[in-house]
Amino acid sequence: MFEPYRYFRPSTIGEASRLLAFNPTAMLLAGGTDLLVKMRERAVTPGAVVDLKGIPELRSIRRQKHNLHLGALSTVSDILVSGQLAARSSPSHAGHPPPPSTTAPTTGLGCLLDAARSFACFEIRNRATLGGNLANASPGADLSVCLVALDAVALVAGHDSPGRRIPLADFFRGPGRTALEPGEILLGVEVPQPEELRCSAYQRLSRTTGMDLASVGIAVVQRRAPGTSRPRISLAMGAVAPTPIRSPAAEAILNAAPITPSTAVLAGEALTRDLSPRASSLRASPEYKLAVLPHLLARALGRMGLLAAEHMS
Amino acid sequence: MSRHPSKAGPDSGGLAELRCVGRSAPRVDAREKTTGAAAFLDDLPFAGLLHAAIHRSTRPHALIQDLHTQDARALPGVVDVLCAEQLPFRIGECLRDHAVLAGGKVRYVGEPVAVVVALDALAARRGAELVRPRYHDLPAVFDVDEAMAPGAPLVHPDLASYRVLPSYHPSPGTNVFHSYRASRGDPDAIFRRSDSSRAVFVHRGTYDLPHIAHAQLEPHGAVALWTGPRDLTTWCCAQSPHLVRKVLAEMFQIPMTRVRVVVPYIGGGFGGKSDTTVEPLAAAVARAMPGRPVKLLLSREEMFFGTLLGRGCRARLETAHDPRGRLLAARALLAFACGACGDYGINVVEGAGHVALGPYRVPHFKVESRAVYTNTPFIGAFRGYGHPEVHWAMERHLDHVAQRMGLDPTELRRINLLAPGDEHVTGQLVEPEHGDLSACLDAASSQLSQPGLPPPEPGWRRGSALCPMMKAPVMATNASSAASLRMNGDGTVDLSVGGTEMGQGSATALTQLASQALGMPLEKIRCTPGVDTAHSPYEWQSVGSTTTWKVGQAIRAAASQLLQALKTNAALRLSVPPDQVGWDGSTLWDLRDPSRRLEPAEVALNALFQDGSALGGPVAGWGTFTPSGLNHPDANGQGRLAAEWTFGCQGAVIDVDLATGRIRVLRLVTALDVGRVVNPRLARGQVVGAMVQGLGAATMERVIYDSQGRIRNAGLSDYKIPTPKDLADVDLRVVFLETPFPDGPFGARCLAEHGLVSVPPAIANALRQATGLHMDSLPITADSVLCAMLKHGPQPDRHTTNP
Repeated sequence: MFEPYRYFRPSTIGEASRLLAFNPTAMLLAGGTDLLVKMRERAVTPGAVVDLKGIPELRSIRRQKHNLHLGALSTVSDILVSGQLAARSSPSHAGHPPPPSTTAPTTGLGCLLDAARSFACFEIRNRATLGGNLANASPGADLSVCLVALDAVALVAGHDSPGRRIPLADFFRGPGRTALEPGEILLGVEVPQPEELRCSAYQRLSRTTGMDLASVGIAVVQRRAPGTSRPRISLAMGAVAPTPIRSPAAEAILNAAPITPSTAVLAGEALTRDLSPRASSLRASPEYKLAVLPHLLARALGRMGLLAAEHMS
Repeated sequence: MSRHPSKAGPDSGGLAELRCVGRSAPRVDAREKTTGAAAFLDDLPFAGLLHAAIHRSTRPHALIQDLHTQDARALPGVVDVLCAEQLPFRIGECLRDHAVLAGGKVRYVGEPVAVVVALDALAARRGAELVRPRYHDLPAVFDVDEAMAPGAPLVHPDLASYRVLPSYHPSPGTNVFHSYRASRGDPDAIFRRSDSSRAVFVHRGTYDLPHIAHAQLEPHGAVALWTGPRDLTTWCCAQSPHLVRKVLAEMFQIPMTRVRVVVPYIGGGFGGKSDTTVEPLAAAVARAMPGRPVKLLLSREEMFFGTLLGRGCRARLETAHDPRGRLLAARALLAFACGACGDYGINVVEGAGHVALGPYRVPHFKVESRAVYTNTPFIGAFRGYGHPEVHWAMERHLDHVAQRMGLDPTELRRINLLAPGDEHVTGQLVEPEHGDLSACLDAASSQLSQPGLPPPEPGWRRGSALCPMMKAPVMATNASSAASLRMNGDGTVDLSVGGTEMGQGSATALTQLASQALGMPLEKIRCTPGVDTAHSPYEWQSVGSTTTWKVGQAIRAAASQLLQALKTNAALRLSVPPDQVGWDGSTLWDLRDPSRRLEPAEVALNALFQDGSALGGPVAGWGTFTPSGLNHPDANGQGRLAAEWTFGCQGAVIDVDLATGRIRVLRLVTALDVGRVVNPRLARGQVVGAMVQGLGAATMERVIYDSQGRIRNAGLSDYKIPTPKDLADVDLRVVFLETPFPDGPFGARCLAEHGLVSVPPAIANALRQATGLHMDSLPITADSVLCAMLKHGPQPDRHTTNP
C-alpha cells in the first residue's frame, strides 16, 4: 500500500539532478526492487519519485581506454549477458546459467558473473540495476562485494557541483548508508585497467538454493600490472561487517609468497581474525560466518585455478 | 462393480468396472486457474466498499490503560474507529477464550486492538497507524516450560469463567487450558526395573518444533455486509464456510438462515484457513456500517501474526526396551506453546495425544499432551495436525535408541510396528482393513535404495533413513457431510457440495466419484465452483484430509437416489415397473424390449407424454455421510476417537557438506496405503506438495521471535520456504498401496496431509547416519549443522573445495 507521491521521469542527468534538488523528499527510482518494497512496507514515504529509466546513457556497459564502465542502470541480466563479459566466459554459460560453484574457467571479471548468477531470480535480475544495488548499500550485496575487490570507482554527479569519483571502498558508509550527498546521483562505476585482470571468483552461501540474499560472501581477484613480476590478489567479503570490506592481512599473506595450501590456510585464518559479524542477523550466526569464510576463500582460489583441488584436502 | 467388496455400492445396472476412479482426469478448474479467470476473494467487485485496517498490539502482555483514537478519526477518509468497547465479542467453539478485539489487556504482539474503517485502504492503514494505546506492561511468558512453571504470569487469569465443552479440561490458575491423558499397564514399574536390570534399556530425550507459518499464496480476508439488522452476508476464503456461519450466527445471536457465507476459489489453506480467521472481526465491524460492505484483507506480513501459526511443541519422551530393542514401556509429555488463544490449537493438542507414540506397539505407557498459553500469536491447524509433532519426537528418539543399542534403525522400527490386533494409544484396535504398515515400510525401503543417484562430491557425506508414519483425522464425533446431484434438462448433472476446493483438487476428485457412482461420463457432470451456505449442502469442515472420503461417500448415496429418480421417470414414460428399466450411463431402456430406449435428457425433468401431459418431477439425489461410531474419550483417554487411519513410510537420502553444513536432499520417498487412488496425478501432487512442505519444515522454516515476542521474520524474505530451485535435483518418489477401506468411496481413504508427517525426522536421521550428529530441534539449517559439528564433530573440513 503506497502513500501518494509525485512521479518524474527526466530524460537527462541534469534534469534529474534539478528534480532532486528541488524536491527534498524525492527518491531515485531505478529497477525498483528495493525502493518499491520499502515503500510498500511504508519504511520510506518519498514525496516524489524520480525515475532514472528515461536516461538511456545510464544503461551501458562499455570498455574505455583505461577502464570498464558499468552504467548505473545496467541490470543484473545486462551484466550477465554483456558482450564484454560473455565473450570471455564459457559458452556453457549461455542461456540457463549454471550454479556459481561450476568448474567453468573464470575470467578477469568472473566474480561479477558469479555474483550476477547467484542474484535473486530471473525476474529480479531483469529488473534490478547495478546502481540501485550499490546505492542500497546492503552489507552483503553480491555485486558490491565484487566491485570492492575489483578496486572499482563510483562516478557521481551533483546538481551544483562538478562530478566526483569515489573509490567504492569509501562509497559504503554502513548498512543503507553511502557517501552520496543530498542531490547527488550515482552514474555508474569504473573498473580500472581490466586488461590487468587475470581471473576472479565470487563465492557465497545462502540459506536456500532458491532465491535468497547472501548469508556470507567473498570475492577474490587476481591482477597483474605490466612490468611487475607477480600477480596480486585482492579480496573483499560481504555480510560480515557494516559494509563490504577488504582483508589487507589475508591479501598480504597471499601476495607474500606463491599460493599453496598452507598459505591459503593462513590467509583463511587472517580473514576472520578481526571480524565480529553482528549476532542479530537472521541469515546466519557469527560463528557460522567465521567458520565458512576460510572455506569460501579456498573454494574461490580453487575456482580460479590458483589452488589445485588435490592440494586442498 | 468394483474390484473389492463395498458397503454402499452404486446402482450396478450395467457398470462392470471402475471407469473413472483411478484415472488421472485433468483438474476441472485447470482452465480458470491458468487463465486467471478464477475469481478469488480480492477479485470480487463490491459497490460502496469500505476498507478496514487493524491497529495491532506492540506489547506481548500489557493492560490497555487508554486508547487514543482522535487523530485517526480526524484523518480524511476515515469513517470510524472501533475498539472492544463497541465490539465486545468473544468466540471459541471448544473453549470461549478468543476476544475478537483485545479489551482490557493485550496478550501478544499483533493482537487486534482497534479497527479503522475508511473509504479506501490507504486511509484505513494510515488511520490504524494513528491509533495510540497507552499500555501498562505485564510480565510476559514465551517459552512453554516457563509458562508451565509454578508462578508463571497468567495469560488468561479468568480461565475458570470461560465456556468450555465437556470433553476439554482447563486448569484454571495455570496456563494449561487442556490436557489429553492416556495410560495402559504399569510403565512406572518397568522404568523402575531398569535401575537394577540390564535387561531393560532406557533412553530419554527432548525434541522441539518451532512455530511455523502456512505461507498460503492467498492472504486471509473477508468482506462482510449487513443488509438488515439481522441479515449478514460474508464473502471469505475460509476452508469451512458452514462452521463460519455457525460461529457468526451464535456471535450475533441471529438465526443461521440470516447468515450467508460465500466462499469463492481459495488460494491455499493447509489448515490455516480452517476454523475462523478474520471473518468474525470483519462481520463485527460491518455491523457498525449497515448497508455497506466492509473488506478486511491481511497483508503478507499480517498473515504471520494476524491469523494462526502451527506446531510449537516440546516433546519429552522416555522409552524402555528389551535387549532386542522391543518397546516395553513409554512415558511422553507433549507440551504445546499454543499462544494467547487456545480454541484453535486445542484439538491439535488432543489429536497429538491420540497418536502420541507413533505407529508402534507399546504395551505399557503413560502419555500426556498439554495445551499451554503463551504470549505469542496462537497456533491452530497446520497440515499434519499433531502428527508431525509426534513423529518428529518418536522417530528422532528411536534413532538415538538404535544408535545407543547398536541396532539397525530400520529393523528397530520393523520389530515394533503396529500390526492387526494391536491397540492404538486410544485403545482402538488395528484392523487389517486399516492398511498394511509393514508393506509400506518394504515399499519405501525398496524405493529408497533404487540406483540412479550420483556419488557424493568430495568433502560431502551421504546418509539415508526410513521413518514409518500414520495419520488419523481429528474431528468432531458428528462430522457430517452432504451432497446434492441435480439432473438438468439436457441430461447434464450439477454436483453441489459444502466441502471447499482450496487447491487440493477435491472438485476434480469428487466429480470423478460422481461420474463413477452415476456411471456417467465425466464431461456430463460439473461440480459447482465455490460454496454458498445459502445453497450448498452441509459440510462440517474441509479439514483432516477428509473431503474426498466423506463427501465422496455422500455423493455415492446421492447418486443412488438420483438414479432411482431417473428410473422412476423413465418407468413412467415407458409404462414399465421401475425395476424393469436398464441404464448404462448414457441410455435408459425397457429391459423386456431393449429397442424401446430413452436419453436421460428426455426424462430429466419429468416424464412427458405425446399428448402433452406429464408425470414425475425433476431428477435429483441427496446424500449424506457421517463417520459412524465416534465418541468422546473416557477419563483414561480411551474411546473410538479416530474414524480412519492411513499408514505409510517415508525416507530420505541426503548429502551433507562437511565444510559448510549444507544439506542437499537427493531423494524423498513416500509409500502410503491410501485404499484406492481416485486420481493418480492429483494424489501424487498432494503427496509431493506435502513432502515439499515437510522439506521446508525440516531445513528452513521457523518463526523467529525477539526477546519481546515480536516476530522478526514476518515475510517471505526471511521466512524461507522451498522454491523450485530447491527442488530441482530432488528425486521425489511416491508409491501408493491399495488395501481397500470399506467405509471409503470405492475403497479410498485420506491422503492429503500425510506426505509431510515423517519427512523432517527422515532427513534428520539421514543426517545422523552421515555425520553422527543428533539434531533434535527443527529446523536443521546449514548454520545449525555446522555449529553442531564444531561442537561435537565430525570437524568440518575447512579447506576442501567442492568443484
